Amino acid sequence: MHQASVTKPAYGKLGLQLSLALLPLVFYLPLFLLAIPGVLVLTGWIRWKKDHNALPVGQTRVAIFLSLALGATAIALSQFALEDIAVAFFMLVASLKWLETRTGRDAIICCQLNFFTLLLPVLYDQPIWLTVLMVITTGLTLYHWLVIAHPGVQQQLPSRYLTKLFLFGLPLIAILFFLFPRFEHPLWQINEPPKAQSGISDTMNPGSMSEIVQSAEPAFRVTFTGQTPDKTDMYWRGLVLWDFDGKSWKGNTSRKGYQWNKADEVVTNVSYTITLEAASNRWLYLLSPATNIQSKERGFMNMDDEFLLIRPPEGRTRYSASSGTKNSFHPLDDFSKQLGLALPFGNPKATALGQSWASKFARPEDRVQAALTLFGSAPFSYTLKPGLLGENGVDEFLFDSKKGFCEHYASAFVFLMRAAGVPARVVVGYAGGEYNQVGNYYLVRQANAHAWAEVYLENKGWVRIDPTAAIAPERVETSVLQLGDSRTDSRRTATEATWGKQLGWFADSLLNEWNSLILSYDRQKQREMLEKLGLDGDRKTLYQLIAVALGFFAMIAVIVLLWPRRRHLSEEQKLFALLCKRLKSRGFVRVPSEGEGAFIHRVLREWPTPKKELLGFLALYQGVRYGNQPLDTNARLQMKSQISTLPKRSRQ
Amino acid sequence: MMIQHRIRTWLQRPRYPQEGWVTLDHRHLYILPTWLGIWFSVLLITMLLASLNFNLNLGLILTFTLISISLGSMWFAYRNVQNLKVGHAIQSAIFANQPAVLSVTARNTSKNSRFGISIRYQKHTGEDYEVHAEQDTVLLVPIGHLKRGIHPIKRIKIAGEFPFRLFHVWSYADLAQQITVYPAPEEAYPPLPSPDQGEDTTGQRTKPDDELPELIRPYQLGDTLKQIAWKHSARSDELVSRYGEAQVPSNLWLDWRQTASEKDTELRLSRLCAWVIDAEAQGLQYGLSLPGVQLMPNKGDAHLHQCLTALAAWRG
Repeated sequence: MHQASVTKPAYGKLGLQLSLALLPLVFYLPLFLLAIPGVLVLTGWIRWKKDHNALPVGQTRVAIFLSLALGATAIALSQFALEDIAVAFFMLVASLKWLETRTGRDAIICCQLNFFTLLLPVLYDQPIWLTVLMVITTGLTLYHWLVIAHPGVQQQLPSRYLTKLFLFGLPLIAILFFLFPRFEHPLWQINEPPKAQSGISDTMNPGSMSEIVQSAEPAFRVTFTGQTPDKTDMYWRGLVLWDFDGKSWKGNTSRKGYQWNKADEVVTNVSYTITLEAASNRWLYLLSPATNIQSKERGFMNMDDEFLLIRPPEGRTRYSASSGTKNSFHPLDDFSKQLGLALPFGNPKATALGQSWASKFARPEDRVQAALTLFGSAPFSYTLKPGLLGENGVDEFLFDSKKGFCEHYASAFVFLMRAAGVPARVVVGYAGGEYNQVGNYYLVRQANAHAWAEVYLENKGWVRIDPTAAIAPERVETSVLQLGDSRTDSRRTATEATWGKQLGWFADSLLNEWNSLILSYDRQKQREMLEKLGLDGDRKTLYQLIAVALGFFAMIAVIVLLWPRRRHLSEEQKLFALLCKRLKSRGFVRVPSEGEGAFIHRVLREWPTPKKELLGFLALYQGVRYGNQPLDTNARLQMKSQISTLPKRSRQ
Repeated sequence: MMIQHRIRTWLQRPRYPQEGWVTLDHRHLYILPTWLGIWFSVLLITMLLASLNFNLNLGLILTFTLISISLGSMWFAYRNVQNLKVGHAIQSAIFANQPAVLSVTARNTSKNSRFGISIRYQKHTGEDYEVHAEQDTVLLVPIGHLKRGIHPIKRIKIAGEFPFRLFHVWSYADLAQQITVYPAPEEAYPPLPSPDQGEDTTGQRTKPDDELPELIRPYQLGDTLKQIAWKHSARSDELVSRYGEAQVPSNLWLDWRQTASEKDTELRLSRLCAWVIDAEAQGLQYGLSLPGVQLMPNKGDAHLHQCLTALAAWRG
């Protein structure tokens, strides 16, 4: 009975599932808010260790009062986001419920609450590890629920039962997931906490890139439809940086706000779809020049070929575009030219070097080449740890350390070009990507983050120049992670894929499918899916579909429940039924209230002719059914013959 | 009012056994969510709204999984009780000072075990039992203390809440069983009345004979003082007891009139009850005589039970 008090093992099970459900929140909540539920959970475990008696009512009240007081303090201090406080409050409720669990009924409520607790971390993020943890905890909680609700069941049964339940429910889960009407807009909104910046930002400091490239996190995944461009052309262009203050490069705000209806003609030769991981950036990455951009997010192309969004996308976003080559370009206006030649104060040596090239080489192309030649010569080297640079960073890099990462090369190159009178700018984005043979897409990681330059040439327009390619060409095709420190030949890895790599690709493909199919599914995709099926995408259709599906399931369930089962008759009963059938054709029907003997005797009263057969049959039948006589072959044959020799009945 | 009345009569239509069994088929099986189930549905709706609002697909998957498992468990809960058969079980008779237990046999003719089946009678709920596949199981429900008498058992309820206690599935059965409650035997009862010499002379009671050596054995714990053969013990330096039928039993009549010193009917019955048990324990032949009831002298379990039942059923 579920009024019985909870045993120690059951109490421990409840604690285990609660701890597992609360665990992910450690990564999302501030320490102060974690402290209160943490103390409660710890108390629970200590009590369990001792003798698992529930918290007395008085102490529970004190605990509730104290928690509320602390919560109120937290709100009053307004140090924490409101939703963090709300989540912490639910954590409190869940842990207090565990602490004061006394009866089986309490324990079941505790299990039910645990599912709600599982939902809390999802409010922050839905990474794959959380998904795995959720699956485990959900299974465990259901298992515990079953075991606590019915302590008497066999050991192996609950898991079998749960598997059965889950498999039966699987089609329903899928139908509800894909067809349940989603909200167009949230009913209520909480101000999202600013997400931690990851990946490329709109400022390039010395060292900022080298930090990003040490992360294996995926930045985005690209699927090409049709042909794939050469790997050396995969420059995923993000932002253009104009303004240099001697230390860091920034975008120019005056150019951000304007949409640019391009007169440039783009001859497209590749089309692709990009799934961009969640980031708080307001721009998309594209192969330049791009056109025909299809994105759910609202945004526009500006004069620098950046695709800027109105607001950062919520979570992952997906967009498609076509790219190719330009066959015409816009002449550079005066303002842009000024921006492209602006130099901050400082770095006298580099300025002088650039100016000397301006007088030496008439053609800007030669000035570009001079810089590339300089970088390509020893002792310039490419390193992740260039060391700190002082006031005149460009000078120090060019003439002292001669060690740098892509941002140093891009920055120094643009500086030299500007000094040499060639308009130039820094571009940040990603270069290259790892081809996933399993999923047929390119995975671009943060490690592929890259910075390069664009220079304006009178007869060509803006041209991409990657000074890093001069010093470390392999860096353009592969990420730092793939290179390792040994600088092995990267081309080998592409051809001879080890099984480890294959496995990695497979896992990432799965992840990609999961992300694109499941996690990014919303009202928009729902509508698209319905329209693909040739249905109207509005809510009414969804309701109808769900009603039909549920009706269908209900029908199957009811049919299975009410399917008439053949009553299992023993052999003598079957023989008796046969006799009844024969007698029916002679006008005698046995009523349900009649015993076998009573029926036979009634028949004989009305029709005494077959007295011998019927009484003989009855004696044998009753002997087998109610006595201890076995139904041997002899008896069987006798009964059959008695049935078959029933005389005809002449009706009066 | 009329409709309510009709519904009530429909719900209370008797469920008598057919061929000894009440089958809990779908025409007589009811299902409703428990309070736990209602509370869980509120929780699920909350989870659904939260997940929908922020379009948390992971949360939606969790919620829909739980919804489908709950619906599935509704179906399983129904299946778990459906087509179970209940029938009579042997009721163990009790004395009025003992707690009564009602027993019912459950028969599971299907190939799946049934779990968490319990019997409810009035306000009493029995334990959960597992009724194994193709087996009979006796289900018990303690029903508290009952007064002396023959208690007809009214309608019983058979219920199950397996798997998650979200749904309560139940049905009724009118098995027309009865529980016999003997009077509580008096504790400090006066000694047995002396046997009747007048009416019956066949059973002449002789003095225990110490001269019969084959009916002597060493003293064992529990032997009464009467049983000790004092003369033999004196001879052999150790206690020896008599056993067996050293005495020819005489007819002992236990009569309602012998308890006339007491006014209270129940007390008189209690005393007679104690006497009957004592007489049986001593191995005497005894008869019972109540106004309107005469049980001829005899002994043995069946006779004891007959006498006690007569006492339980007696209405003065």
